[in-house]
Amino acid sequence: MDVSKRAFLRAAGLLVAEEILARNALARNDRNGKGPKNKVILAVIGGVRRHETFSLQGFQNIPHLARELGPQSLFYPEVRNEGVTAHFNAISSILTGTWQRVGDWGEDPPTAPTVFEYFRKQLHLPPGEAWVIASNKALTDLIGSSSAHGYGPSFGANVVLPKQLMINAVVNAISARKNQELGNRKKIQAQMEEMLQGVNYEGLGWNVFDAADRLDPHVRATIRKAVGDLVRGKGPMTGDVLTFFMAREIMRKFAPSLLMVNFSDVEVAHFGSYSMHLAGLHTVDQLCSELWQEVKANPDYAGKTTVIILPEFGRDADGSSTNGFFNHRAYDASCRSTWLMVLGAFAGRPRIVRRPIRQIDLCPTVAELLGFKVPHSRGARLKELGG
Amino acid sequence: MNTQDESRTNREERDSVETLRRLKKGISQDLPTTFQPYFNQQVHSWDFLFPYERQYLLEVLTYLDQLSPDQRLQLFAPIRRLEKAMDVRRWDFSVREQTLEDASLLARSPYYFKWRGEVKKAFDQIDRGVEEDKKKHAKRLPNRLILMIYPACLPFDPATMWKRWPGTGKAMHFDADISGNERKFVEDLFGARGHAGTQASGTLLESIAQRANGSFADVWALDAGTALSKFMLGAGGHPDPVPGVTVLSFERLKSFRENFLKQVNTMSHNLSSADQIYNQIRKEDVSQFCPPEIKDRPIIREVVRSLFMNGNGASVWGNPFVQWGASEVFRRARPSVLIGYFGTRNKPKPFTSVAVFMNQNKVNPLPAVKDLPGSAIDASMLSYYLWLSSTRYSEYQNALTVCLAESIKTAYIVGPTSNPLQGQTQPLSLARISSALSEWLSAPV
Repeated sequence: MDVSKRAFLRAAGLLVAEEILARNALARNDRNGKGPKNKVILAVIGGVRRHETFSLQGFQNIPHLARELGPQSLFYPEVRNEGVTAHFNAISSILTGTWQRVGDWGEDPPTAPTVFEYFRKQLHLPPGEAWVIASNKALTDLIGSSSAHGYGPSFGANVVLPKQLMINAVVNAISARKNQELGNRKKIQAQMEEMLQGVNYEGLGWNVFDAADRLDPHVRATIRKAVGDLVRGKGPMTGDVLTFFMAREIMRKFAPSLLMVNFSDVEVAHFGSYSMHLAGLHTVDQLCSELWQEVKANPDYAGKTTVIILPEFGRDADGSSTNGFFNHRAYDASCRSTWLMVLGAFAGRPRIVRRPIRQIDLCPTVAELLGFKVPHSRGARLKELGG
Repeated sequence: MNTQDESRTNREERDSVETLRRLKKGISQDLPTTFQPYFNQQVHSWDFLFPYERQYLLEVLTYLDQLSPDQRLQLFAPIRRLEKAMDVRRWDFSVREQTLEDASLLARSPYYFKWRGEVKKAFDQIDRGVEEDKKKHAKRLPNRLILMIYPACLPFDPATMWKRWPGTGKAMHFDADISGNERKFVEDLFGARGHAGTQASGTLLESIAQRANGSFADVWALDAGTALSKFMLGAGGHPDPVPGVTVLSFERLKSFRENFLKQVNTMSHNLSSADQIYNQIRKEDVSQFCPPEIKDRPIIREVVRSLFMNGNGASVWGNPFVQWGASEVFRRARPSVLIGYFGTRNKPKPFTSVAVFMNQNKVNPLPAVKDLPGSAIDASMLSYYLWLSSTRYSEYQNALTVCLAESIKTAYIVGPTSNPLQGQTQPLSLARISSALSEWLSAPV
């Protein structure tokens, strides 16, 4: 693949480098004995306050996390975000193990190597081993790799922004005056599949699937299946549900060893609807449970996968001058303080670890689990993980 | 405030403008870079500031002017040190106005938290100085009222409805026709005659009108729908608008909102584009998108523009609009009466809601369905936030807050125990509530 084509695909937001296009079978390289023995899935949720989650009042909003997953987990109730409490920076910080202070809207890549780059570079792994599936509109394809010297996109993760597919499909239907079709689930599916064919459409931001006609059929089939599951399903038709279906399909088809799934339905809070924020919380609670069920049922993951669930940050406190749950920019305890849950292979015996930890501690911890080094990280490995 | 009143106010303030410019000039060179956009923007927007804002700005500048240069240097020294550490000089920081790009640069700086702390300290010191000056001319403030109404269609659980509110509040039952006729409820509440045995001389509406007559920024009605606004703009027994009451209705601002969002939707995914679009919106003549009650009132037009441009102004539903609007009105105008009327929003439609909140009814053929339980949860939380925002200001320490939840026929009352609703026999009639609130507003200063 020439440089311009590669740049184009990257700019389009979905990096499916030629290696993966040419070697679908190799994407599941763990089966060939070349990948790491262990797998890690990070499920990163948008901003949620302790008050609405792990508190006496909050448990009702997260029945799965609190009652089903919590009791079998290694749980850290005191996790600090000491960086910028905006989406791109928070996730960049988690992924790099350094407090990132780049543009809020994903205009620039992280400045330190991401966990994906360390992972792929040191272990000589193909692109199919690291994926980001994200709902949040503040993320761009630049979240998958850094601008750090010696690293960069050639070692980065594939970045898929499924919600953008839905947005593009809606915008496309509206601009083509096909509004009537938006009330019909089958027609909606057709609209989204049209997007996958790379038919003329204008994106709203990242143009993730501008390059859809260049997609490998295997990748396209994966996405199509996820769209079909969403449209045929009886559940809510939200960005997070599509993100989950997409992540599940990628797990089934490519079985990556390192996967980050980002859920953001809760961010509807910015529009001032508390009930919809809680509905988003209910959805992600359910999806975390389903993700865990998939890990247990999927032979590529069962028994060797560590799932780490954490919010990006909290939200502002009631009564703050920044309008409480609407936002996450007060930098107070309610906004900075969050929690972290570890399930699976390296969680060890279920317990609660009360010592405060930082979000940047996650990067070296993941590195330890998957067997590589993170020399630029400023975090400290979570010693409790390890079985 | 009508046009004539506004002109009069502007005339009265003309002298202040000269004072303002003189004061500003005198201290300009001593202000830290990151302080300058606030002061410059306030001075630049002088014509569109409320009396409270003008007075505050003059007081702050007067206080700073009274300090010696050394004292000013000392006051701002920690901020200047942080600006140096942040290397603000290299930022191309706009001192003329506050921009999203500058705000983002500040927020991303590792010194941001410290900077905020030092800014707060500086303002605390300034405010203390201003307060000291004020105490010398202290006068008793009139009774203040915050009245919130939740229409009958919003279902609440009486057991949990007031759980967030301070325990000092009191729930009282009232009796009213809750058939869902919003107009009738509003008319009965505001139009009801004084109840025998109370000291109020007229209806609640008359007391409100009297209060509104005193200052154009003193009485506000914020409406998620149209029931309250229609009444205030003239209905039933009073065909003319209640003079002096500023009415902001989310529904009636639909054109304004749609024009705003149309422009915002052209924004690229970066901050400079956002600043560019916002600059355009700032300069646009918005009168064509305004309902008649706002169209000829430049200050109120600017309030609406500012509501949509700042904070969570792009809210797409009525209840957050009431809350955010009230929060801004408290901050900027310190009204003595604020009435909030909550309402409903529709359920998000499958698929399209992911992409477009605003125009769902236009773009999606599925019928709109009201989300009544969700709207009730929103109204419950947002009315609490509305009250919380008033508590930030000393002027509201003794305000009476009354929430009327029609569906559960319960009023929740927060405020001085000496208010006229305390000790009343329950269930209260609307007439009694009306006359008690009228009495509260009519109490002599």
